[in-house]
Amino acid sequence: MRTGSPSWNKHTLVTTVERKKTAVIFPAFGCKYLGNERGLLEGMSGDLSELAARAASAVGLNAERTLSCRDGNFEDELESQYAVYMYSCAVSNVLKRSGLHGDFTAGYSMGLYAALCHAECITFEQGLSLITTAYRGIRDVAASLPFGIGVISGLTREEAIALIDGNSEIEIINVNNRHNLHIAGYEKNVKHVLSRAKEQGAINCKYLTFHSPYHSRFMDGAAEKFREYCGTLTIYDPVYPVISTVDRRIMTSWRDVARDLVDNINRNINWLETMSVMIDAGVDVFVECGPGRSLQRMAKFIDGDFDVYNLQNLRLLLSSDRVCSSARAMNY
Amino acid sequence: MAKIENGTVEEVRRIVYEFFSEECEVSIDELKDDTNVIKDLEGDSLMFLELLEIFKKKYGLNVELKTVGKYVVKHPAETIGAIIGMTMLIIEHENRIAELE
Repeated sequence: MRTGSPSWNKHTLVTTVERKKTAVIFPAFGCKYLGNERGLLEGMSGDLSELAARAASAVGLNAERTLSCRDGNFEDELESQYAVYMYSCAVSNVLKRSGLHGDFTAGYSMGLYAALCHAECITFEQGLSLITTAYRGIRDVAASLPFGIGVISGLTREEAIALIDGNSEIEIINVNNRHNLHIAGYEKNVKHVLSRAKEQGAINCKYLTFHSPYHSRFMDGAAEKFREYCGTLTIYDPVYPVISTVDRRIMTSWRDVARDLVDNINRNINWLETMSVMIDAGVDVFVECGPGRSLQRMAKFIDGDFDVYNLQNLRLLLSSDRVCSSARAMNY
Repeated sequence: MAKIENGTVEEVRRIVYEFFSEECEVSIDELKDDTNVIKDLEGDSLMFLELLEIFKKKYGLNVELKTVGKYVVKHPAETIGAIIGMTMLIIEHENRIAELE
């Protein structure tokens, strides 16, 4: 599939390698840490410490405390968002330094900010500022009403739609893969649908501990404020195409990016379709840039002939012929 | 209804143990039948779904996810031993597992 047969020319033995496409993907906060992320990254570069120092300066992050937390149980949701963004950007830097940029990039939920930093639409500091502004806007709206989020495993999107049965007070905010999706809305409605899903044969239904109904129309007010803030920023055209999780369009201009930043707050996303767009475009290697391996696990229920690598096996990828990188020369 | 052959139980047991050892990054020697997948291994439902797909493919099972889900509601399987037991029932009864009490 990837490597061709060795072939002779007059002077040398040439091994041809068919170049497939690579995508760089970014997880959201809430992903499960494996505990060795800091050590792995520090073994590859000094990026994590440097980014932590910049985050301390930009948003007042307690860098040492955040980096010391190996299990991902941070003090609050905002610190959790900063941490995953920092780790994601550090892995992105390692990739770029080894010559691996990716043909596409995409960010899962709030992983969008790291994806945009990777695509050089925004600076690292702008990403931190966007995270802070979005978080506060969403929190302000969500704090006033009893919202909730639930996850359903074992039912398809169509089966979940049938359960919701036209109730406009609840939305499927994200389809992770063919067996797993998130719903959001008022707490009582979410709990009701979770209960019905269980009766219908869902393998697992869980009411999540964070209550802000991200990616739903309940966040319209937060999105409007966020739009105003985005209007004050300088956003650059992406260096690498970014796939929108909202409508799966390939974003190549700053206008696309600015729109997607706002849409990501109050419109439903679909990770299954986002991955499928990249797989259909010829991607056979995904690199998950961030702590843990949540996107790799999600991808087990997404159809296609591809592999997902992450920080745990990044060295293996960079020294293999799956991607064209300068990693071997850099001794990674 | 699939026929349980000699060695099927041992094969299922080996696959389940190897699966959780690899997924949860725990030595296989540390796993026991009474190991709780959720509490002890921090496992989740996606692992169960993945395991189910492995067995569906391996044994060519005709079983719907929703049928298994309804059975799980009545008969939760949280330990490795319980998951092995339920897998054997799924292999034996396929979609008719819903009719079991």
